[in-house]
Amino acid sequence: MDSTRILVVDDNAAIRKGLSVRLRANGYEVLFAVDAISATAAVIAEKPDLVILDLGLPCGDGFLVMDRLNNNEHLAKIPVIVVTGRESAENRDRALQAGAVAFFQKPVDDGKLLLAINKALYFPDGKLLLED
Amino acid sequence: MAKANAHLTAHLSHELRNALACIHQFGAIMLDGLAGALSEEQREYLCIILENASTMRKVIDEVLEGTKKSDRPHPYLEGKPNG
Repeated sequence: MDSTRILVVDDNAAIRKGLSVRLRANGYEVLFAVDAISATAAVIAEKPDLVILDLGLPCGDGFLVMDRLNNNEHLAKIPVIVVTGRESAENRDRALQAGAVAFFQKPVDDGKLLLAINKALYFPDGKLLLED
Repeated sequence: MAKANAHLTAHLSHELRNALACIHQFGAIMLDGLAGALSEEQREYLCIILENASTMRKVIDEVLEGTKKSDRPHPYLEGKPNG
């Protein structure tokens, strides 16, 4: 059986590494992208089951990535969880309106993130509105 | 000043939270044994690191929230008194 694949989009190498260790320990296959352009390309090419998306990225930002995914009916169905270092107040509503199923401000609690991932994968049609 | 404050706050938030996320993330990975078994002493020290990372997060939240509401930089950003 194929494992569930998660695309981690973050320009910080240590954050990518840390998330990959945690996700792989929980049975997920992890893919990476480091900026807005490569993130969109990776989603199109790899069609991951879920995307963990930072907002502050080179070559655009996380909102640009979500906009591009939303313009494709197949890609728009892939759940996106935002994990960002940006201030939450002004970005949370915008991210959820753009289609994110959950919003977390760094540093994220691993248990809460894994719960959000499980819910997003098992209840793909539901708006979960999980946050820290 | 308000615009400069907002820009500074956003920048600080991004940088501080990323650094803190790395401390928290790898500390939790080690504490959960994902990088190998720990001795009791190592576990104790790691817990101290993580507890202080949590404290640091609260301080960052308070400072950045205070800065956002003010026209002036938070005292933390203007230079904290010694000690």
